[in-house]
Amino acid sequence: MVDVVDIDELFDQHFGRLVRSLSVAFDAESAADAVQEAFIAADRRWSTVSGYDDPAGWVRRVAVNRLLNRRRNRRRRVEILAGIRVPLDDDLTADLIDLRAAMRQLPDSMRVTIGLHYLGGFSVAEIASDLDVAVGTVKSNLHDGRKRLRQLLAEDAHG
Amino acid sequence: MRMDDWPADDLAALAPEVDVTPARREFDRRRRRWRQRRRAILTAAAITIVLVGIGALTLVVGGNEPDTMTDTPAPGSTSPTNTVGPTTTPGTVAVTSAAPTTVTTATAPTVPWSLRPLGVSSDDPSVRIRENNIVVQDDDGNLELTYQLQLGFFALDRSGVVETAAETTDTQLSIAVTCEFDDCSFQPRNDSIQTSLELTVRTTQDQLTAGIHRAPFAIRFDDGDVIDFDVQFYAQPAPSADMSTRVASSSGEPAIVQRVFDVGRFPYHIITAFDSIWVLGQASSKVTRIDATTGALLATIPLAPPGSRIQSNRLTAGDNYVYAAGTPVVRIDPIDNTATPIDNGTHAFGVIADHDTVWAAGRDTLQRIEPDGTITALDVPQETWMDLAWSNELVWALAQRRGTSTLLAIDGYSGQIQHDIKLELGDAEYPVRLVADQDIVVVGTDSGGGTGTGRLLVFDPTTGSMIVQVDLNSRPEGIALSPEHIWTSSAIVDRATFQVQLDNRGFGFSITRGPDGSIWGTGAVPGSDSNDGNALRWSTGDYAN
Repeated sequence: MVDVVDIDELFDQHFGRLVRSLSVAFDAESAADAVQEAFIAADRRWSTVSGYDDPAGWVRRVAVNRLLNRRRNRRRRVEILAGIRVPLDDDLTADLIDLRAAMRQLPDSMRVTIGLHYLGGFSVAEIASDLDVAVGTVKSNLHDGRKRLRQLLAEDAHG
Repeated sequence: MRMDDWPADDLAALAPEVDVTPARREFDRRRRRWRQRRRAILTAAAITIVLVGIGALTLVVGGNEPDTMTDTPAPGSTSPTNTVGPTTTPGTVAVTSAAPTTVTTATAPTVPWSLRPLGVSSDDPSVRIRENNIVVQDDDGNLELTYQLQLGFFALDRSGVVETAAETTDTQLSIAVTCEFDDCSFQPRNDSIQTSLELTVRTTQDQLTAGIHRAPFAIRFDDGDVIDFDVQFYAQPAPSADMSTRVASSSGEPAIVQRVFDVGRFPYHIITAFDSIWVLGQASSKVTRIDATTGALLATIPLAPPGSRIQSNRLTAGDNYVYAAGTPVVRIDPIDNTATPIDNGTHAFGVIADHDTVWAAGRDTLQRIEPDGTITALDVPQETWMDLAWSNELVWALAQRRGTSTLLAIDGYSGQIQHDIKLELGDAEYPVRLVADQDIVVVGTDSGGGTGTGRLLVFDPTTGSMIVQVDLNSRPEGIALSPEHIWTSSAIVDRATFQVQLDNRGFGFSITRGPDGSIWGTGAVPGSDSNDGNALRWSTGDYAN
């Protein structure tokens, strides 16, 4: 784990990675909003959060909780969204569009697990802590999620 | 691309490109504004700082004992609808402050209710509320509680008014607002953009429903902008010496009769020992001790020195101590609630005690820890031993493996393996919990596949043979044994017939049976954004034994 000395560094290191990871589980706007709010919350408690073993993990947990609890800012900040460029359908292959549709059919926790692990590169233990579940549950979600995605893509290919 | 990585690359193609610069700029802007506001607040010394979370204060008001109490939860709901009869004679008043460390609640034998603010629900993150200057009034023989709350929000140099919502769905709270300013309006404060208001919320009803109550408010700015927010309260019978009577007098289906806050974050395991309920707050590396009779918070015990953490999954109790698994195993003295590490040199997932000899299970290891600290490694197969139990004078160890797992029964003193039981599980199925008494050993499994279902595998501790498998519509993460029933996190099974009598109930993530027979479970505080835990006490209704 990289030692983080201040929240600026934490933001620069983790904002983009976390938004990308959570964007495939939810929509990009919600992910960016949740991650931004999590960093704001961390900043306001930085004297406490900076003392944690894994301040980035704390930010991740808050962001994931906001998304899972469907907490939204009424006013999305256009300034943040200006930096988010979502791939257009024209830029995607049919397989990728199918994968995106298949992802949407998975349960929330499974999508988050897959996004954090395969896109964010977070470990099974880190994700287990984020979601407050057992390590085995994360492994199960990864295994079952991939299996389900393959099934959905196969059904789509034959259907 | 290696197939093991699929769908990493494909997901990367679906993910947005993120330029962090605009977000960073916005982040910096909000931080500057925040600091300006804080400076403004600190300058205005007369204004109480409101930018903190809710204090852990409990307000209790004296009065007669309730005449009746019925438990009729909505199907599938964990929100109880306990009601009490009229409170006719107000009595004395006690206010206690629950500090985050060791706390003993003041004696309040005739207290009928506590009503605790949970927080504020608002889309606007600037809205904060804090209890302050609690006032209690007795008026005309009615139960009347008055909270003075302080509200903080960012007015951003605008004027406006704070209002209660036009229509309140919660008819049990009579809400009145008195503000620092006339008619609750506020004006821009020169260069200050922090506005402080004071709210008063009353309940004048003599009958409250246990559970969450919401008092809706709105901050209405003159420019037309509106911030809606709810002040949330949790009402419940307050800790009192008669709580066991209340639990025993409940009938019908199980229902929540008490909720204890401040039990740490991620309350992962709960046990009963020394007339207390012990809750392991995994993320906060603390154990919280609750009086099993009154439900009062007795102590909060750090497992690790300040600034460090212990990842602990399980608690157990011997004759003289409570033990927490982890790196290292920690011994807690219930006399003074002090924690002492035992340097066992490895991480323990599970822990079980016989008198004060302790076994600690980990990856490929099972250790015996003598009362004098001597540690002996027992020879066990290479597995991740995730849970332990004690039955038939044997240590039972459960491996966490999907598909085919292992349940081992070993003489914990000689190291001789008595039963080596292969658990034939489904492809995705895996064990989650092991509990036992002298008559049965119970393994709980998760069916995997995100189904949320599970099974109980019940074994005879003498022969090691399986007695029965019980399918559940829920995952038995927590299991507690009573003489006639097997309680799980969400179900009740009859021990004589092994028929599922209730399912999909949500008693708690981890559960235990208290000395009075009530079931205690762990869960997250309703509306909590930080996974703060609470302990729920359930009346057992028709499943008392």
